[in-house]
Amino acid sequence: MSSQKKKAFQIEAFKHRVVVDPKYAEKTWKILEHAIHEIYNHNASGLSFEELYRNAYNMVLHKFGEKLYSGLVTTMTSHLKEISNSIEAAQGGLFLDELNRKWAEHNKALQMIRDILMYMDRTFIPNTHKTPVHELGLNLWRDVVIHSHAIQSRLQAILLENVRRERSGEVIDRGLMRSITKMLMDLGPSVYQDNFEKHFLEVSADFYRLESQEFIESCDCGEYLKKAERRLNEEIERVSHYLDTRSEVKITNVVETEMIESHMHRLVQMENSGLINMIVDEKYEDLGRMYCLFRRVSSGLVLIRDVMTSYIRDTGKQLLTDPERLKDPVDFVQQLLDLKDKYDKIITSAFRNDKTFQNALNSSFEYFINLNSRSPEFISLFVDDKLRKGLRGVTEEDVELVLDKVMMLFRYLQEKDVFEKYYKQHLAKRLLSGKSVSDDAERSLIVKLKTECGYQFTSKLEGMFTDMKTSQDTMQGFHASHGSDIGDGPMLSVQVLTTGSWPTQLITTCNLPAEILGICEKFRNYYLGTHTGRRLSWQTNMGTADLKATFGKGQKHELNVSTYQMCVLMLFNDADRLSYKEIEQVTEIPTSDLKRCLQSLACVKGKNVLRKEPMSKDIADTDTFLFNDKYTSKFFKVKIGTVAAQRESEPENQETRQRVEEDRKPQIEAAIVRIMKARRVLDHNNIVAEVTKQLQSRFLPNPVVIKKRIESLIEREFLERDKGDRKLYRYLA
Amino acid sequence: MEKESELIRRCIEAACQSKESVEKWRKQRRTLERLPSHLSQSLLRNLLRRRLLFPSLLEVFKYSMEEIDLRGENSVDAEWMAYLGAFRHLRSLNLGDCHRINNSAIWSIVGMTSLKEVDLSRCMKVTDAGVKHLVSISTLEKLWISETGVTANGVALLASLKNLSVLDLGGLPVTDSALNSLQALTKLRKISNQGALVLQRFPKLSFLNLAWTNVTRFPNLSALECLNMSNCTIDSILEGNGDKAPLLKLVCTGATFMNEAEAFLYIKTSSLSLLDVSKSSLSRFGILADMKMLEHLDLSSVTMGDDSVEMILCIGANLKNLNLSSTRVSSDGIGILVGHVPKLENLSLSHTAIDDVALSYIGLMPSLKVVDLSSTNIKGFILQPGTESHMDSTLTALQNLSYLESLNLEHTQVRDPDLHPLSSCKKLSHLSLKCASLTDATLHLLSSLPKLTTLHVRDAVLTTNGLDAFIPPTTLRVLDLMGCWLLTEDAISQFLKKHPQVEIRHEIVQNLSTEHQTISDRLSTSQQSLKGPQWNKKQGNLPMPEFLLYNREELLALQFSPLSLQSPHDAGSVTPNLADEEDLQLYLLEFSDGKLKTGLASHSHLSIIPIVTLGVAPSV
Amino acid sequence: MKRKDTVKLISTDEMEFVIDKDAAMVSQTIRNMLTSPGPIDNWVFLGGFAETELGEVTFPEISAVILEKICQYFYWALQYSRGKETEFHIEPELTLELMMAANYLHT
Repeated sequence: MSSQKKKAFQIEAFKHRVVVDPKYAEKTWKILEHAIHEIYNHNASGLSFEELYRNAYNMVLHKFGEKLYSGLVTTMTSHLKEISNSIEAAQGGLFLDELNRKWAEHNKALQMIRDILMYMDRTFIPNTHKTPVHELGLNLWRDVVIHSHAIQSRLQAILLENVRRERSGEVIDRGLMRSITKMLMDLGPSVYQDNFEKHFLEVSADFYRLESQEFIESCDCGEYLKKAERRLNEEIERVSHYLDTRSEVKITNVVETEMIESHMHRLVQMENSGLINMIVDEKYEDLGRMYCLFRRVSSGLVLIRDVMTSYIRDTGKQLLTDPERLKDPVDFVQQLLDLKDKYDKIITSAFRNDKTFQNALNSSFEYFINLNSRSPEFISLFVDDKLRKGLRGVTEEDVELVLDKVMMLFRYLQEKDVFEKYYKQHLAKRLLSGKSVSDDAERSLIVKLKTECGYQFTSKLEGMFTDMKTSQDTMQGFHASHGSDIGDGPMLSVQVLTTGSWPTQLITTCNLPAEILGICEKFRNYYLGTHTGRRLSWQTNMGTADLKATFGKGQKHELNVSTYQMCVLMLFNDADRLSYKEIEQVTEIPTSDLKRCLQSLACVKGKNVLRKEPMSKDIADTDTFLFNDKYTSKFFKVKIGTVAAQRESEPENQETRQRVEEDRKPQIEAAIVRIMKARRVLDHNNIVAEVTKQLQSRFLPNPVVIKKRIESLIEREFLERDKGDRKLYRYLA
Repeated sequence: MEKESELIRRCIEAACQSKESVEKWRKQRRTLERLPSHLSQSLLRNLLRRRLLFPSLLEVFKYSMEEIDLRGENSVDAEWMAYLGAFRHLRSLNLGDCHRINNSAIWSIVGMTSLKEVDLSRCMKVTDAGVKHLVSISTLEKLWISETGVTANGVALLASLKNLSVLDLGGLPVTDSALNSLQALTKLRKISNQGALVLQRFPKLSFLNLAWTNVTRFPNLSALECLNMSNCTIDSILEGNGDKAPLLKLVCTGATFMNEAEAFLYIKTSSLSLLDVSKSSLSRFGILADMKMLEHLDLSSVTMGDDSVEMILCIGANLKNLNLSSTRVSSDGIGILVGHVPKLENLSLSHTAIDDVALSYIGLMPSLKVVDLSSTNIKGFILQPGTESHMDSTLTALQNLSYLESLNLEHTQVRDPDLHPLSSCKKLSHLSLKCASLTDATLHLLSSLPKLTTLHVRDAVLTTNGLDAFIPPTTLRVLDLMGCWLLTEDAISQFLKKHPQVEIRHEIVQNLSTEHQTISDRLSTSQQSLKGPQWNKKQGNLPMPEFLLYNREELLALQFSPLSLQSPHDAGSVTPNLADEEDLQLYLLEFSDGKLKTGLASHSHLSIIPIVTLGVAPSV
Repeated sequence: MKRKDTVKLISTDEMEFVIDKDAAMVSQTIRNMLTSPGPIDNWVFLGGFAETELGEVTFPEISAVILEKICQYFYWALQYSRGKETEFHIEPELTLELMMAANYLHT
């Protein structure tokens, strides 16, 4: 305690304070200077806080704040210079350690100094806008120690060396690194950045550039990706342990750029291990890794997506243009489904269900499915196959699965109306031949189609089902009322088909055997009796008959044949041999049908209930037919019906297509009229656009066709051309 | 500086409790050198406020004060100065309006080497002799001696103050020769003077106050930023060679322009940010065209009409404040402005002929915060042609002003239903209404304004019930109900009890609180920041001050005070000697209709001179 | 007997006041004094000032009367912050010195 203070504070005395002279200031400062020295030399315990605080307080109070402050700066600076020297003197590995230690000591000292100079910090410094003590201490440390030439470069070098060592597998003192980087951050973000981070990033970039080059020469894609991932994780971990968190994104950027972005293309295209190979080999883990890594890089995913998409398209295109494949539609469609499944799986398991990939997959499918104009037909055949036999014995859930998959393919079709046409045909055949596996499955599919395309699409199909049901009821009624009449006569089962719902067929007739005619008449009368205003016409080209036939040695067989075949066979009840011409004359079956029918009766092994002379595969006008007494068959029931739906022959296909085109015309016209009615006046391009938009759920209209339709409508005075502008059309009410 | 701590505050309060308290500690020590400057200031301020300061007490502060502000303290005299002279570290001394300061008082501060700033504005008794003393303070850097008794000779003496950088000589009869001698003051930055040719010698002059002087023309001053030539007769400004001064502020209130075309020819108008030509003779406004940086434009009381508004258009881009009160601008003029004043925050159109049409235009000025529409033809509604019964409130236009904070509709004919749209002005904090046709419904309407802090509803027909039922917004602090003569004392005190956070202004309340106020407090409640009458307790007679102003409240307060005035109230309420008319000149402010209401009508011997407003020359 | 959570304040005329640490910490200066950094574990660093070690502070420039008043204020401030709003009376003759001491102690 300084004695001169003793006489200061007594209440009674008169205080004419002597003006404080500069010497006083100098003395006081010396005390404080000494104290600072002691603090730096770890001798603070001998000092009295109160005394020092009081001295500083007095200096500021008596307006010597400036002296105190500048003294502080000088003293601290000189101490730091000493410290700086001692750090520089440290050898090799001890450098960081010494730096760290001295830093901690400095902080401690700084705090103590700040505490005793608190009054100056509170009053003098804000008034004069000087730097507060704590900040001053940090700034001086930064300037004198860190930015001292020797230390700065050495520090940087050692830090970077440590990182390098750790990258090559050595273990380093992470705690020490942490303290040092923390110190840099405390001194200011720019200090950290300039003294460390900037260089760290540069060096890392070089390091990874080199390493990635090495790897890419020596590893295959999957291995490389593994390595890249490992390095990435390593860096993230490094940041969490001893770097500033804000460095994370920067260093990961570096790794991503050097290891991934620079080699992106090469990796993807890598022979035998690139993306395509991974897809083909279903390497889900590798694909997943690639996805995660590439995601970090801009346009990384785009690359993957593009490569994958073009591969899918190629595969699809191949599939669709391969004539071998196209021979078996069912198999073909199955291949498509398998393809879709495969990629779905890849996207789900490796690509995290990424929507953009899903979209790319969808658009690819859409693209190549429509490359082949027969796709709608094939899909319908696929469905047909499944509904006939493929889904036999399959659980309800699995049925749904298959149907959903079919629907998915259906959605890709551009010409949905073509599909509709075929589907109708195939459905008709299924219904009429009673060959559908499960009525529920059929209906389920109809519902799905309805959901997808609307009521119009499926109304006729539903009509077909209704007809079947109604026919059942009608038959019941018929048998109930006429049961007694029939007696021994043939059993008749009639399906009454509403003309509009079922696929159009040419009405053909033939001469039915007398026995049949009778009962048919009975039915006709019955039906027309209960339903007025309708016309019935027998569709003899469809229909089947079960005949009981007795052959030479008395074998009895039940033959299941078509109506035409029945007519022909019944003739042989009265004659043993008949010439072609005779048969034709009596039955009046159309030629091609007759030929086909005879072919299947006489020329097919195991089904030759007739014998043909001369024996040959084809039917000539001059052939003669005999009842084959010697016919044998293992089975009691023999089916000689017409085969199931097949893929159409070329000409048939053409025909169907034509019909489809015809059907489209009125739809286009209707669309045009609808649009013009609403818009009144519209130009050509817009009409085309609107029409396309309206019809795209069914098919893609051809602009040329649209134009023709417009002309047609103009002729019929639904529209007119504008006088001034030839491209403008006006609706005529 | 940080705030005082709790303990220190209490100490100061305890110290300033009363005379006795002061005595007690005064005895202890003669100086306070251990007290930091800001605490001494605080103590002094408190002592001043409690009127406990007297000369010998000043000695206590001898070693600790650096600046002293004794503005307006009439008790300050030579004795005070004597003590002040002993202050060791005094740097700044403000004695403005200390009317007792005379030359001998100044003698006390002779030779103070720490003194750098001295303000003696309006110390009438200071003359040239006093200046002689001042010049001995060679460290003086800033000196204000406007409106003192100093003459040209005195000013000439100032030449020896080599360190002078700010010099305020407003209103002094300075001559050219005196000014010449000031050339020696090379550091002079701020000077207000007359006879200006010599100003060329002050190249660094940035601030010039020539108000009330006879300057007619003066030369170029290329550093000049602020120029005040109010009430001067202006011939030309800043004519001369060299760079044009980048003038930022130009104030020419009440000036007479001899030659308008030439007057502004030499000013670099493109940097001007403030132009005040209110009450001047300016009639041609073409000069406005270049002032693209103008933020503040005051054209009040100028003869301008709608045609001149076009001039404002070109410069509207930066305009923040526009004062067109008392001009001939009409609603059409306002219409012209729309769209050209995107930053306009403050618009004053009081005492113009605008009507409701203008409101729709005003609604289109998006940045408006403060709008003064008092004393205009605004009615609040427009009669739709053809349908007399259907009237739209024109104030709905104001709802578009999302920043509107203050609205003045005093002396318009707006009635209750027309005020409806205001209830959706979310930011409105100040609203002034004064119209005899307003009723309780107005109060009710306004209780929904979320940010209202100040509400004036004057002269309205408000009943006790209405006031009772009024639920003020939670932010309301001031409710001015002057002139609502139906309200009783009870009603008001009831309201105050229910809503203690609201301050009510009313003639009755004025009186109630007058009982407890001291003179000095009265001095500070005058509304226009002009001084109320000043009474010296010791003298019983009326003094003859230069400006004696009553605002309306004070005058109405008279109705309740007895007229025998030889002995003023103990509490010091203002009671002029009304019998002595010749001695009294009353200047009244804000009298709406020239008539006094109720109370004073009975004092018929009073002759009042109505509606004269008088201002002190602005010291910019 | 000195308990752990008290501190001794000594005036210029050697009067001793033992008060709770909590109360003493009302003064920022005393707070800083007592919480000035202590020794770091790993290193040989004799941290802290003499006062921290001994738990007592001497104020050679504050008299006993004033110091007593200051201590009273400490306790009063604690009470006040806990919600008890009472008056703290200051005798006029103490005000100036008390002010200076308060400024010194940053109270």
